[in-house]
Amino acid sequence: MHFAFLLRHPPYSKQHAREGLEAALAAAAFGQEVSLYFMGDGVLQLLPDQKATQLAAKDTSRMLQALDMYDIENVYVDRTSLQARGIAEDALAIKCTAVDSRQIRQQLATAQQVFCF
Amino acid sequence: MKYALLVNGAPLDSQAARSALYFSQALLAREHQLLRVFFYGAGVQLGNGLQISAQDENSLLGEWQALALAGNTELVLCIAAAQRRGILSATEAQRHGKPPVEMLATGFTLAGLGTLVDAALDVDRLITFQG
Repeated sequence: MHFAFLLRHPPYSKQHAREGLEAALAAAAFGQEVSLYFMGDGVLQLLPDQKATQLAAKDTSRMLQALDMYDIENVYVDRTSLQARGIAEDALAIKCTAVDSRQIRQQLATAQQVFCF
Repeated sequence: MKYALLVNGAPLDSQAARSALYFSQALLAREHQLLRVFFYGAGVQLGNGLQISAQDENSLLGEWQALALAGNTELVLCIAAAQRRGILSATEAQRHGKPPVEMLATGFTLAGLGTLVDAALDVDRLITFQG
């Protein structure tokens, strides 16, 4: 089944980013087709060169490096959210496809379940 | 229709568990089936049986327990998220070398993320309540 995960929180200060990614990895480990959508402040999870150790936090960008291992290939980022934060599409830590809100709506309509984090 | 809920927000510091409860009550009133509610993130705090509400305030926990009975609904806390926040069953506490206090509220169980995935596979709709 196709499960979509919306990731809308920044990487640190709260646990949403970490726990959302963990849930996505679990779904993939259980053999489901997983797609990720980084939106709003969630796009900050994609910034390279994070120094989570300075916050004594778990580095969520490391978890993103593991997506390949879990066969999660469909990774999308909301273009408007990137633009609003002055982040270039080619400056992200992992390979992802920039999409607009219309494309996101269309793709979510094809997912069997949507998980929000 | 068959539903499952994912509740991520803390019970007191967000509206998530309260809104999810009202949504669940509406589901049952319309004769939908609510298979499972999976509490994740700070949402697991709802399953802490040691919480005490003031006498003149509604007990959110009590209302959830009543709903679970009425709807034959499973209330599940993510075991990893609960452990990180110090919510353990007596058995789990003992296993981790802590005093064997039962903190898990009646009607709740601890389980892994696989239980959330299973619920998503079994139902028509999974709805998230965010904090």
